[in-house]
Amino acid sequence: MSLINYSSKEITCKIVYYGPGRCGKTTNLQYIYGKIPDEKRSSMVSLATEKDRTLFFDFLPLELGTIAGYKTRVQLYTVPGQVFYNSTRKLVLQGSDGVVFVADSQVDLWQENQESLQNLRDNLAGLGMDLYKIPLVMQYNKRDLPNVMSVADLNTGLNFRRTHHFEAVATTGVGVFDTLKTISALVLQSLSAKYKK
Amino acid sequence: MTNLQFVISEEITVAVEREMALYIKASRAKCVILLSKNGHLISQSGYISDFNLQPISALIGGIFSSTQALARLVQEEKFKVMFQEGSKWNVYFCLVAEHFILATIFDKSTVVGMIRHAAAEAEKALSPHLEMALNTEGDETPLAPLPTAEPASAQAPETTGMVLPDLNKEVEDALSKLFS
Repeated sequence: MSLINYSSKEITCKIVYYGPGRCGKTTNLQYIYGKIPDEKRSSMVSLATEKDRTLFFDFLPLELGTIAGYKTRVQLYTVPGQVFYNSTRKLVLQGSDGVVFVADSQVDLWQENQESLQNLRDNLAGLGMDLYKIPLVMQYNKRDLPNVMSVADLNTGLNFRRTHHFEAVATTGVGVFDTLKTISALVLQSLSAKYKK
Repeated sequence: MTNLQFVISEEITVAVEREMALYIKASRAKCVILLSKNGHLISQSGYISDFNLQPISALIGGIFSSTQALARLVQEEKFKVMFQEGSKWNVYFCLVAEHFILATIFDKSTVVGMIRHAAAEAEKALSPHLEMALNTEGDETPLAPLPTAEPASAQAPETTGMVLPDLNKEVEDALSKLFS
Protein backbone atom coordinates (compact mmCIF):
# COMPACT_ATOMS: atom_id res chain seq x y z
CA MET A 1 0.00 0.00 0.00
CA SER A 2 2.35 2.64 -1.22
CA LEU A 3 1.63 6.32 -1.04
CA ILE A 4 2.48 8.52 -3.98
CA ASN A 5 2.16 12.26 -3.55
CA TYR A 6 2.39 13.98 -6.89
CA SER A 7 2.00 17.34 -5.23
CA SER A 8 5.10 17.09 -3.07
CA LYS A 9 6.77 14.51 -5.36
CA GLU A 10 7.08 11.97 -2.59
CA ILE A 11 6.83 8.19 -2.57
CA THR A 12 6.43 6.17 0.61
CA CYS A 13 6.57 2.39 0.51
CA LYS A 14 6.55 -0.42 3.02
CA ILE A 15 8.96 -3.34 3.13
CA VAL A 16 8.42 -6.20 5.57
CA TYR A 17 11.13 -8.53 6.87
CA TYR A 18 9.54 -11.94 7.37
CA GLY A 19 10.91 -15.25 8.62
CA PRO A 20 10.95 -17.72 11.50
CA GLY A 21 11.66 -16.75 15.11
CA ARG A 22 15.25 -15.72 15.86
CA CYS A 23 16.30 -15.76 12.20
CA GLY A 24 17.71 -12.21 12.38
CA LYS A 25 14.96 -9.91 11.12
CA THR A 26 15.36 -7.39 13.95
CA THR A 27 19.16 -7.68 13.69
CA ASN A 28 18.95 -6.59 10.04
CA LEU A 29 17.09 -3.43 11.06
CA GLN A 30 19.36 -2.80 14.03
CA TYR A 31 22.41 -3.04 11.82
CA ILE A 32 20.94 -0.62 9.29
CA TYR A 33 19.90 1.77 12.07
CA GLY A 34 23.37 1.62 13.60
CA LYS A 35 24.95 2.68 10.31
CA ILE A 36 22.83 5.79 9.80
CA PRO A 37 24.91 8.88 10.66
CA ASP A 38 23.63 10.73 13.74
CA GLU A 39 22.55 13.82 11.81
CA LYS A 40 20.33 11.74 9.52
CA ARG A 41 19.04 9.37 12.15
CA SER A 42 15.33 9.27 12.90
CA SER A 43 14.15 6.73 15.43
CA MET A 44 13.69 3.00 15.35
CA VAL A 45 10.63 1.70 17.15
CA SER A 46 10.74 -1.79 18.64
CA LEU A 47 7.74 -3.31 20.33
CA ALA A 48 9.37 -6.22 22.10
CA THR A 49 8.66 -8.59 24.96
CA GLU A 50 10.63 -8.42 28.21
CA LYS A 51 12.99 -10.97 26.72
CA ASP A 52 13.62 -8.80 23.65
CA ARG A 53 11.60 -10.95 21.28
CA THR A 54 9.52 -8.93 18.81
CA LEU A 55 5.98 -8.64 20.13
CA PHE A 56 4.30 -6.52 17.46
CA PHE A 57 6.83 -5.08 15.04
CA ASP A 58 10.06 -3.16 14.62
CA PHE A 59 9.84 -0.03 12.52
CA LEU A 60 12.63 1.88 10.84
CA PRO A 61 11.92 4.77 8.45
CA LEU A 62 14.60 5.54 5.87
CA GLU A 63 14.72 8.71 3.81
CA LEU A 64 16.49 7.59 0.69
CA GLY A 65 16.60 11.04 -0.85
CA THR A 66 15.56 11.79 -4.41
CA ILE A 67 15.20 8.84 -6.74
CA ALA A 68 13.99 9.37 -10.28
CA GLY A 69 12.78 12.82 -9.29
CA TYR A 70 10.77 11.68 -6.28
CA LYS A 71 11.66 12.11 -2.62
CA THR A 72 11.65 8.47 -1.60
CA ARG A 73 10.86 7.16 1.83
CA VAL A 74 11.14 3.46 2.64
CA GLN A 75 9.60 2.12 5.82
CA LEU A 76 11.08 -1.13 7.09
CA TYR A 77 9.03 -3.39 9.34
CA THR A 78 9.69 -6.76 10.91
CA VAL A 79 7.07 -9.25 11.99
CA PRO A 80 7.21 -11.30 15.19
CA GLY A 81 8.61 -14.68 14.18
CA GLN A 82 7.17 -16.82 16.93
CA VAL A 83 4.48 -19.17 15.63
CA PHE A 84 1.72 -18.07 18.00
CA TYR A 85 1.85 -14.43 16.88
CA ASN A 86 0.29 -15.13 13.50
CA SER A 87 -2.56 -12.64 13.83
CA THR A 88 0.01 -9.92 14.52
CA ARG A 89 2.13 -10.98 11.56
CA LYS A 90 -0.88 -10.64 9.33
CA LEU A 91 -1.57 -7.12 10.57
CA VAL A 92 1.99 -6.01 9.90
CA LEU A 93 1.99 -7.63 6.46
CA GLN A 94 -1.08 -5.69 5.46
CA GLY A 95 -0.26 -3.11 2.81
CA SER A 96 3.30 -4.24 2.24
CA ASP A 97 4.92 -3.36 -1.08
CA GLY A 98 7.76 -5.84 -0.81
CA VAL A 99 8.99 -8.66 1.39
CA VAL A 100 12.42 -9.84 2.51
CA PHE A 101 12.25 -13.45 3.61
CA VAL A 102 15.03 -14.02 6.14
CA ALA A 103 15.85 -17.71 6.43
CA ASP A 104 18.03 -19.23 9.14
CA SER A 105 20.69 -21.21 7.29
CA GLN A 106 21.24 -23.76 10.07
CA VAL A 107 20.35 -27.33 9.13
CA ASP A 108 18.31 -27.81 12.30
CA LEU A 109 16.03 -24.92 11.39
CA TRP A 110 15.08 -26.14 7.96
CA GLN A 111 11.53 -27.03 8.95
CA GLU A 112 10.95 -23.66 10.64
CA ASN A 113 12.03 -21.91 7.43
CA GLN A 114 9.63 -23.95 5.35
CA GLU A 115 6.75 -23.40 7.75
CA SER A 116 7.39 -19.68 7.87
CA LEU A 117 7.47 -19.42 4.07
CA GLN A 118 4.21 -21.34 3.86
CA ASN A 119 2.79 -19.03 6.52
CA LEU A 120 3.89 -16.01 4.47
CA ARG A 121 2.15 -17.40 1.42
CA ASP A 122 -1.06 -18.09 3.39
CA ASN A 123 -1.09 -14.69 5.07
CA LEU A 124 -0.51 -12.86 1.80
CA ALA A 125 -3.30 -14.86 0.18
CA GLY A 126 -5.58 -13.91 3.08
CA LEU A 127 -4.85 -10.27 2.28
CA GLY A 128 -5.54 -10.72 -1.43
CA MET A 129 -1.85 -10.68 -2.33
CA ASP A 130 0.25 -13.22 -4.14
CA LEU A 131 3.69 -14.47 -3.09
CA TYR A 132 4.42 -15.11 -6.75
CA LYS A 133 3.84 -11.46 -7.66
CA ILE A 134 4.98 -9.31 -4.75
CA PRO A 135 8.58 -8.00 -4.91
CA LEU A 136 10.56 -10.55 -2.91
CA VAL A 137 14.17 -11.06 -1.87
CA MET A 138 15.50 -14.11 -0.04
CA GLN A 139 18.20 -13.65 2.57
CA TYR A 140 20.07 -16.69 3.91
CA ASN A 141 21.28 -15.48 7.28
CA LYS A 142 23.78 -16.83 9.84
CA ARG A 143 26.25 -18.04 7.22
CA ASP A 144 29.01 -17.72 9.82
CA LEU A 145 27.63 -20.55 11.96
CA PRO A 146 28.72 -24.16 11.65
CA ASN A 147 26.32 -26.74 10.29
CA VAL A 148 24.59 -24.54 7.76
CA MET A 149 22.85 -25.72 4.61
CA SER A 150 24.39 -25.00 1.24
CA VAL A 151 23.00 -22.07 -0.70
CA ALA A 152 22.05 -24.46 -3.49
CA ASP A 153 19.92 -26.51 -1.08
CA LEU A 154 18.32 -23.41 0.40
CA ASN A 155 17.49 -22.18 -3.08
CA THR A 156 16.03 -25.50 -4.07
CA GLY A 157 13.86 -25.75 -0.98
CA LEU A 158 12.81 -22.15 -0.44
CA ASN A 159 13.47 -20.02 -3.48
CA PHE A 160 10.83 -21.49 -5.75
CA ARG A 161 10.45 -18.15 -7.54
CA ARG A 162 14.17 -18.10 -8.24
CA THR A 163 14.20 -14.53 -7.06
CA HIS A 164 17.21 -12.56 -5.85
CA HIS A 165 18.99 -14.16 -2.91
CA PHE A 166 21.81 -13.10 -0.64
CA GLU A 167 23.99 -14.81 1.92
CA ALA A 168 24.14 -12.82 5.12
CA VAL A 169 25.59 -12.47 8.57
CA ALA A 170 23.28 -9.79 9.92
CA THR A 171 25.23 -9.31 13.15
CA THR A 172 28.24 -8.06 11.18
CA GLY A 173 26.31 -6.56 8.29
CA VAL A 174 27.31 -9.04 5.60
CA GLY A 175 24.57 -9.08 2.97
CA VAL A 176 22.36 -6.61 4.86
CA PHE A 177 22.75 -3.69 2.48
CA ASP A 178 22.71 -5.88 -0.64
CA THR A 179 19.35 -7.16 0.52
CA LEU A 180 18.03 -3.68 1.31
CA LYS A 181 19.27 -2.22 -1.95
CA THR A 182 17.72 -4.98 -4.04
CA ILE A 183 14.30 -5.05 -2.37
CA SER A 184 14.12 -1.23 -2.52
CA ALA A 185 14.90 -1.27 -6.23
CA LEU A 186 12.39 -4.05 -6.89
CA VAL A 187 9.64 -2.20 -5.03
CA LEU A 188 10.31 1.06 -6.84
CA GLN A 189 10.46 -0.70 -10.20
CA SER A 190 7.18 -2.41 -9.46
CA LEU A 191 5.57 0.95 -8.64
CA SER A 192 7.12 2.54 -11.68
CA ALA A 193 5.73 -0.19 -13.93
CA LYS A 194 2.25 0.22 -12.45
CA TYR A 195 2.12 3.94 -13.00
CA LYS A 196 3.85 4.18 -16.33
CA LYS A 197 1.54 5.44 -19.06
CA MET B 1 -9.44 -7.70 -1.39
CA THR B 2 -7.45 -5.64 -3.87
CA ASN B 3 -4.10 -4.13 -3.12
CA LEU B 4 -4.86 -0.47 -2.54
CA GLN B 5 -2.51 2.35 -3.30
CA PHE B 6 -2.90 6.01 -2.53
CA VAL B 7 -2.15 8.64 -5.10
CA ILE B 8 -2.30 12.17 -3.77
CA SER B 9 -2.69 14.88 -6.39
CA GLU B 10 -2.09 18.60 -5.98
CA GLU B 11 -5.85 19.14 -5.87
CA ILE B 12 -6.31 16.61 -3.06
CA THR B 13 -3.38 18.06 -1.10
CA VAL B 14 -4.84 21.56 -1.23
CA ALA B 15 -8.30 20.36 -0.20
CA VAL B 16 -6.98 18.18 2.65
CA GLU B 17 -4.77 20.94 4.02
CA ARG B 18 -7.68 23.37 3.91
CA GLU B 19 -9.98 21.00 5.80
CA MET B 20 -7.33 20.18 8.37
CA ALA B 21 -6.69 23.86 9.03
CA LEU B 22 -10.41 24.37 9.60
CA TYR B 23 -10.53 21.35 11.88
CA ILE B 24 -7.63 22.42 14.05
CA LYS B 25 -9.21 25.85 14.46
CA ALA B 26 -12.61 24.42 15.34
CA SER B 27 -11.27 21.78 17.75
CA ARG B 28 -8.53 23.92 19.36
CA ALA B 29 -6.24 20.91 19.21
CA LYS B 30 -2.45 21.30 19.19
CA CYS B 31 -1.67 18.97 16.34
CA VAL B 32 -3.58 16.94 13.78
CA ILE B 33 -2.15 14.27 11.53
CA LEU B 34 -3.73 12.36 8.71
CA LEU B 35 -2.36 8.96 7.81
CA SER B 36 -3.30 5.84 5.93
CA LYS B 37 -4.44 2.87 8.04
CA ASN B 38 -1.15 1.38 7.04
CA GLY B 39 0.77 4.03 8.97
CA HIS B 40 1.90 6.24 6.08
CA LEU B 41 1.84 9.91 7.06
CA ILE B 42 -0.13 12.00 4.56
CA SER B 43 -0.57 15.43 6.08
CA GLN B 44 -0.04 17.29 9.33
CA SER B 45 -1.16 20.57 10.82
CA GLY B 46 -0.50 22.50 14.03
CA TYR B 47 2.42 22.42 16.47
CA ILE B 48 4.29 19.46 15.12
CA SER B 49 7.86 20.29 16.04
CA ASP B 50 7.62 18.50 19.41
CA PHE B 51 6.72 15.19 17.81
CA ASN B 52 8.50 12.70 15.58
CA LEU B 53 5.60 12.04 13.25
CA GLN B 54 6.83 9.07 11.23
CA PRO B 55 7.13 6.61 14.12
CA ILE B 56 3.99 8.10 15.64
CA SER B 57 2.14 7.35 12.39
CA ALA B 58 3.49 3.80 12.23
CA LEU B 59 2.42 3.16 15.82
CA ILE B 60 -1.04 4.63 15.27
CA GLY B 61 -1.41 2.39 12.22
CA GLY B 62 -0.44 -0.59 14.37
CA ILE B 63 -2.77 0.36 17.21
CA PHE B 64 -5.64 0.83 14.79
CA SER B 65 -4.99 -2.47 13.02
CA SER B 66 -4.94 -4.40 16.26
CA THR B 67 -8.08 -2.60 17.43
CA GLN B 68 -9.92 -3.62 14.27
CA ALA B 69 -8.86 -7.22 14.87
CA LEU B 70 -10.20 -6.88 18.41
CA ALA B 71 -13.48 -5.50 17.04
CA ARG B 72 -13.97 -8.57 14.91
CA LEU B 73 -13.33 -10.83 17.90
CA VAL B 74 -16.21 -9.19 19.77
CA GLN B 75 -18.44 -9.39 16.69
CA GLU B 76 -18.17 -5.73 15.80
CA GLU B 77 -17.50 -4.79 12.20
CA LYS B 78 -15.05 -2.07 13.27
CA PHE B 79 -14.24 0.47 15.96
CA LYS B 80 -14.33 3.91 14.43
CA VAL B 81 -12.82 6.02 17.19
CA MET B 82 -10.29 5.66 19.99
CA PHE B 83 -9.19 7.97 22.76
CA GLN B 84 -6.00 7.86 24.84
CA GLU B 85 -5.72 10.08 27.92
CA GLY B 86 -2.37 11.18 29.35
CA SER B 87 -1.28 13.61 32.06
CA LYS B 88 -0.32 16.31 29.56
CA TRP B 89 -1.32 15.12 26.11
CA ASN B 90 -4.37 13.24 24.88
CA VAL B 91 -4.82 11.57 21.53
CA TYR B 92 -8.09 11.05 19.70
CA PHE B 93 -8.21 8.86 16.59
CA CYS B 94 -11.01 8.41 14.11
CA LEU B 95 -11.41 6.50 10.91
CA VAL B 96 -11.99 8.54 7.73
CA ALA B 97 -13.19 7.19 4.38
CA GLU B 98 -12.50 3.62 5.57
CA HIS B 99 -8.78 3.71 4.74
CA PHE B 100 -7.45 6.73 6.61
CA ILE B 101 -7.01 7.81 10.22
CA LEU B 102 -7.31 11.33 11.57
CA ALA B 103 -5.26 11.56 14.78
CA THR B 104 -5.63 14.59 17.01
CA ILE B 105 -3.18 15.48 19.77
CA PHE B 106 -4.56 17.94 22.30
CA ASP B 107 -3.98 19.25 25.80
CA LYS B 108 -6.14 20.77 28.50
CA SER B 109 -6.98 23.86 26.44
CA THR B 110 -9.84 21.94 24.89
CA VAL B 111 -12.06 19.00 25.82
CA VAL B 112 -12.68 15.63 24.26
CA GLY B 113 -16.32 16.47 23.51
CA MET B 114 -15.29 19.39 21.35
CA ILE B 115 -12.66 17.27 19.60
CA ARG B 116 -15.20 14.55 18.98
CA HIS B 117 -17.74 16.94 17.49
CA ALA B 118 -15.21 18.76 15.30
CA ALA B 119 -13.63 15.47 14.18
CA ALA B 120 -17.00 14.17 13.02
CA GLU B 121 -17.40 17.29 10.89
CA ALA B 122 -13.85 17.00 9.58
CA GLU B 123 -14.44 13.37 8.71
CA LYS B 124 -17.41 14.34 6.53
CA ALA B 125 -15.44 17.12 4.86
CA LEU B 126 -12.30 15.06 4.22
CA SER B 127 -13.95 11.86 2.99
CA PRO B 128 -14.80 12.85 -0.60
CA HIS B 129 -11.28 14.18 -1.19
CA LEU B 130 -9.60 11.10 0.25
CA GLU B 131 -11.79 8.73 -1.71
CA MET B 132 -10.31 10.32 -4.82
CA ALA B 133 -6.85 9.26 -3.65
CA LEU B 134 -7.70 5.58 -3.65
CA ASN B 135 -6.24 3.70 -6.52
CA THR B 136 -6.83 -0.02 -6.73
CA GLU B 137 -4.35 -2.22 -8.50
CA GLY B 138 -5.33 -2.59 -12.13
CA ASP B 139 -7.08 0.75 -12.21
CA GLU B 140 -6.49 2.00 -15.71
CA THR B 141 -6.91 5.67 -14.95
CA PRO B 142 -3.91 7.33 -16.56
CA LEU B 143 -1.60 8.94 -14.05
CA ALA B 144 1.47 11.03 -14.51
CA PRO B 145 4.24 8.49 -15.02
CA LEU B 146 6.92 7.75 -12.51
CA PRO B 147 10.10 8.01 -14.48
CA THR B 148 12.36 5.22 -15.71
CA ALA B 149 12.59 1.49 -15.08
CA GLU B 150 11.13 -1.53 -16.75
CA PRO B 151 8.93 -3.95 -14.78
CA ALA B 152 10.89 -6.25 -12.54
CA SER B 153 11.21 -9.69 -14.01
CA ALA B 154 9.27 -12.36 -12.13
CA GLN B 155 12.02 -14.81 -12.93
CA ALA B 156 15.22 -13.21 -11.78
CA PRO B 157 18.59 -14.74 -12.56
CA GLU B 158 19.89 -17.31 -10.15
CA THR B 159 23.16 -15.64 -9.30
CA THR B 160 23.69 -13.59 -6.16
CA GLY B 161 24.01 -9.82 -6.50
CA MET B 162 22.81 -9.57 -10.08
CA VAL B 163 22.47 -6.19 -11.71
CA LEU B 164 19.00 -4.71 -11.83
CA PRO B 165 18.20 -2.27 -14.57
CA ASP B 166 17.70 1.46 -14.06
CA LEU B 167 16.66 2.08 -10.46
CA ASN B 168 19.27 -0.20 -8.94
CA LYS B 169 21.99 2.35 -9.49
CA GLU B 170 19.83 5.20 -8.19
CA VAL B 171 18.91 3.24 -5.06
CA GLU B 172 22.55 2.33 -4.51
CA ASP B 173 23.59 5.98 -4.83
CA ALA B 174 20.81 7.07 -2.46
CA LEU B 175 21.81 4.48 0.14
CA SER B 176 25.49 5.40 -0.17
CA LYS B 177 24.60 9.03 0.40
CA LEU B 178 22.35 8.20 3.37
CA PHE B 179 24.93 6.06 5.13
CA SER B 180 27.98 8.21 4.37
